[in-house]
Amino acid sequence: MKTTNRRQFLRGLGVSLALPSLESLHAASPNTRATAERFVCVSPTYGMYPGGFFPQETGADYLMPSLLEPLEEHRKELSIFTNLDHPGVGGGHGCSNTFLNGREIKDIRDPQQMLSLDQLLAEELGQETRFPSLQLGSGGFSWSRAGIQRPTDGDPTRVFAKLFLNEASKTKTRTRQFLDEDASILDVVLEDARRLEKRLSRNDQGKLGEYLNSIREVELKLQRRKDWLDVDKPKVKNTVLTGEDNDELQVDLAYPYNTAVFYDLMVLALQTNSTRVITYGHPGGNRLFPFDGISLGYHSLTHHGKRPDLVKQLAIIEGFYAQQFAGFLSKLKSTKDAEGRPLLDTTTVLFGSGMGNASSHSSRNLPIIAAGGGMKHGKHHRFDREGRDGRPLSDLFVTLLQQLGVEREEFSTSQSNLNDLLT
Amino acid sequence: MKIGFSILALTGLLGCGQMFSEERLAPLVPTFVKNYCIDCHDNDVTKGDRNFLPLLADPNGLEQSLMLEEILDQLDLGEMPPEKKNVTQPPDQERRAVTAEIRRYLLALRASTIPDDTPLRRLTRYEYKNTIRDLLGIDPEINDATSEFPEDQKHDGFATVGGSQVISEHQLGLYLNSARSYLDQALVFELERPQTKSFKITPSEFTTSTTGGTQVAYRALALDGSYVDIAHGEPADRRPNAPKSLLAGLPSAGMYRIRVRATGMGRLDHGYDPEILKVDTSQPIKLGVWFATTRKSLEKTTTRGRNLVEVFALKDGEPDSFETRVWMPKGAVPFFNWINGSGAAKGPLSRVVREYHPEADRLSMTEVDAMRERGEAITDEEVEKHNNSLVTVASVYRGPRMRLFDIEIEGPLVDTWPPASHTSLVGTTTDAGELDIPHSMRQLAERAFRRPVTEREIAHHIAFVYQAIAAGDSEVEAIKSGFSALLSSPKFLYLDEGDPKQRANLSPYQLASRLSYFLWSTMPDEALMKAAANGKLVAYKDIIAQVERMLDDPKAEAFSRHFTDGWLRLDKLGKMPPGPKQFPTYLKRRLEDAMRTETQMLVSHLVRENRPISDFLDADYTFINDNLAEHYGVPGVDGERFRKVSLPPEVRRRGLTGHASVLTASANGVETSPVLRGIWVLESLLGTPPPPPPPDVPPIEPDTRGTLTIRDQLAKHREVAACADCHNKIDPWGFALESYGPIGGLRTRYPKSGNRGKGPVIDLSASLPSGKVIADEGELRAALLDRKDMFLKNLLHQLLTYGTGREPQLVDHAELEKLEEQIKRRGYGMRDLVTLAAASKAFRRR
Repeated sequence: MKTTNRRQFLRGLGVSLALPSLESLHAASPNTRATAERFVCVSPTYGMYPGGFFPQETGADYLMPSLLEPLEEHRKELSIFTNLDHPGVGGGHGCSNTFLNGREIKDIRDPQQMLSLDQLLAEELGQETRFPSLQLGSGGFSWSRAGIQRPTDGDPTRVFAKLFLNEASKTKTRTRQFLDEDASILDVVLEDARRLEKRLSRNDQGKLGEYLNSIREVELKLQRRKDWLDVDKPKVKNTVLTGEDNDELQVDLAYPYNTAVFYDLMVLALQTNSTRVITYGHPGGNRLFPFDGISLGYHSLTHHGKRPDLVKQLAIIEGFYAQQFAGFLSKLKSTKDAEGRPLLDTTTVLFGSGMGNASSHSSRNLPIIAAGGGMKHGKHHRFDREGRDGRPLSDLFVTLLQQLGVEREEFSTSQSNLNDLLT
Repeated sequence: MKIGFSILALTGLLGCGQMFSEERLAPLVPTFVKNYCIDCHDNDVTKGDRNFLPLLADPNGLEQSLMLEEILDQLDLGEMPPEKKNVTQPPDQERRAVTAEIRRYLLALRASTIPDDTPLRRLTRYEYKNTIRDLLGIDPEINDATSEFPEDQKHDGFATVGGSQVISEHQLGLYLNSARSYLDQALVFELERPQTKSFKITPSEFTTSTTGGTQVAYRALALDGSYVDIAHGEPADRRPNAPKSLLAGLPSAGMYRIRVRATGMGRLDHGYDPEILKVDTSQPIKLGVWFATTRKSLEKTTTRGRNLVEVFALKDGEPDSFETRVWMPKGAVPFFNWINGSGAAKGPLSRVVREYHPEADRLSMTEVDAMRERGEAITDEEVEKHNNSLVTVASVYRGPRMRLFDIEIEGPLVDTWPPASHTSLVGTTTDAGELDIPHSMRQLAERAFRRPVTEREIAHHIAFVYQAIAAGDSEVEAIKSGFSALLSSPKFLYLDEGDPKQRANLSPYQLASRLSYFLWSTMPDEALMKAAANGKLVAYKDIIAQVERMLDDPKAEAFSRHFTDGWLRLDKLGKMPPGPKQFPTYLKRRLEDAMRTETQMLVSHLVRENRPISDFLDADYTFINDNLAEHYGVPGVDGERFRKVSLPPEVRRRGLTGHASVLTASANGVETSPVLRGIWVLESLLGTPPPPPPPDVPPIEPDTRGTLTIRDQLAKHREVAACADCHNKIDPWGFALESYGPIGGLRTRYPKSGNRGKGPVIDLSASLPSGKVIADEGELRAALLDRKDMFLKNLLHQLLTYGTGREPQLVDHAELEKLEEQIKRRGYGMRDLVTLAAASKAFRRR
């Protein structure tokens, strides 16, 4: 039976007009089942060419599709899915941004509904780390509870500094001063906002509410920064940026060559417990990838019109994504956490995009791989497609949440979960 | 005016028990439901968990509207009623009538359930920046503290619409930071008047060696050191030519004068095979004068932080002096390039050397490696000896290049000290001990909040500064904190337009702000504030007089820029940049900026001269420079300066539908689509946007392998009944514009598929929804001119949306109709339109 979010809304009408309170969402019971502690999501903006991504056979004995060949060595640690998508999300470039929340802004009645999987996890897993979450590379698909896209950092040098470089004590003093100053400025403007609120119309109070809410959140953030200011950052050699002394090749910090650098930074961030939630986006745009055999911009290639010569060029780029991702999984396998387990065993890794087929800007049949996190892997799962919709991708998200110890039975447009396949 | 069919979004606005809407659904819909649906969807059967009895009982309500949405989807898809034996199928005509009515009803519903007044709105990013510029007297573009602000959410292209705006903790944090950084720029406490210095730059500073080998950056120094030749370059230079002595950056911020002596060389008389050289020498060699905000912006992988100051066309073989002035921040590095050059010149240059100058053909490391791989033994010493025996490329090269002689940079040029930015905030003293804190705070508050402030509302701000001093801050730190708080207050960041229950119309100060942000995208000036204070912003004629004055001010350029960006969706330019290989001129000739300038100048021209708005549809003139003229194939336009030119018909550029800006923004940088351009015509010109596609219809997947053109593919799409209704209304408007490629270049054929043969010839004809058949874009323009009144209505609607921060509401309609009549009577002038719109009740209503 086909059910949609709209239908749930119809049924719950009247009740659902009241917004779910923040507290009720936090009321989850303490986790007892968690087998994974970390979450990483990697997303290419324009998805992956379907012809090279989805295996023909289902089950464990599928032939690795051409684009995914680099992942062969990890086949036991990953699952591939066909016919997962977000019901209710339409096509167009916007669908890339719905990857982790399954919603379009035009369809929601409460900004909290835009909250993406990673930001929910940041609330749940990120309270004891220096950074609740990191958004790296290019962004768009990470959404805060206020319904706003989280900014990302695309500069590896800056990310390294943020994670591992301690400020000089003079800078720290200045930073502390600024933080204190900011906090006291916020007190002053809060007073302005409160007085303003008193004489605004109901509708305007809502708009000002966003401002008031922002003040509260900045205050929390300032407090958090102050708390961490005196805690030394983990010591890490900067060879990830500079290369080893005996390396002949310089590390290239420009995209796309910096992809490997970002993956290394991600492993370091997880290993040092600087954060437990990371998203990394491969940008779109029309850049000319500096690889042999490529003569057209990336965006141009996604508009291949099925021409084999162009599909071949696109495969070079997407094959590069797969190869880099495979390298990341290898590193997660060989790196141990504090208890000596491979990081991959306790890190839930999701690879995919909110765009299914870039050539038609379709939001159907999304390319999805789940890996690690102590789940049951090794198979290609194909779901039925009923009319327009496949299985809700959020069903997978519910399983990931539970695997990470977040006791929730639903997320976004989920109808169920994939526990029977993965746990 | 685009409408997402989801009503969900507006339910949040409705409290329980509130009347839903006055909008009424026509009875034909319930009748249809009764005849074709109710048998399976009532209390007894309730198939698919759907019961439509409430809809029959009372079709108008929130729950019912959601049912209607579902019914519309199902009808669009053709899935209901199901094709089964006992189920009666409605005739196509009836089905269409019903879907049309449901669509109309849902749209109207949405329009009528949004409150009448403008929701509290904050300054957009560009408004914030302009306001900072006028408030603090600094140039906020340099050291742009807002560069990390999130992009503003837009409502049909307009960022000024309050209902669509959001704010986050991230942005609030950035407001705090940028206030601090801009205040540091504006205030000069305890600083001495900076000394004006002269930096003399010699040509040798641009070379890395004197050998002048064929590096990517071919930089050759004359034997006597009197000039340097630069034979590579493009707007986004990978190797910008920065003088060594200034690589550390300028020691202080301020206004600088830059003088350069330069000439073009070898453009027309080089004698090399153009096929080898691969440089377009049709334009004179042009010198770009730039500065990088910091040295980091000179790195080859970035162009961020590079600012183009001015472009000079150079004469051939005739040195000339050029001068420009620019404000540069501390740490800035000026640099120079051949802006319309050949890009990185390595390949062509080494071919030229091999073909024409073997006596200078040095062995490169790659060549040496290749030789060794072939088994030829050659030692490093031999390579070096060989290379040293050669003459330099510089001494023999005759190709096109830019020749720079001496350069002088002088500054900071200080007219007054302390600078105006400082005095306007705290007076002439630079001694923090002499500050009048309450006075300075109050003065900035009034300007920042754009109205008089009461003692009470400013008291805690002033107290804050004294508290900071008491806590050990210096006076300078304390007053900066105080100013920062004013610049982060909601009273500054938001346009406070009061409570509609108190007053329906804006107060004079509120009106001053609304007018100012409408026409200038910045805070009101002193004259406007004075008018508000003296009761000179109430009477109709006084308002008209202010609007006239404001339109004559250079700040009105902001209107041409930002209104046009939203109205014509030029904000999309640069979002999907065209591929550098397919469309090299887009970057090399800096066409994006040129395109935008052309359209803005047309808007400014119509406003300034009160030209009829029909010029937007078929002006036989436009505004172009050499780069755009080249793109359009208009002969005889030299130089970077934009000027008005008349357009002979064969140029095919009349009116907005011939503007490259519009044609680029309505394509995706790769290929064109009659659908996108059709929608653009309906939205931006005619004001009748089509509804978005039903979400369940699969999009077209383009197939360019065969000879199937986009026209054929669309014809197929229109065979599906669910698609036909809308696409019959959309596609015809776009077909005639297929004569323009993805960046607006003229064409007669589609690009060929693969490398074989020619692409298919483009068919421009179309049958408009009215039944009229048009042959090409000329007849399209004629058809648009026939709809001039629709165009006027739409333009007025767009102006008011942009200016008031909300769509015109039902209560405004009667007045708008009167306004339209008035403007028609006066001859459709654009200036009349803007002026009357700004003075209208709809504009002055809260």
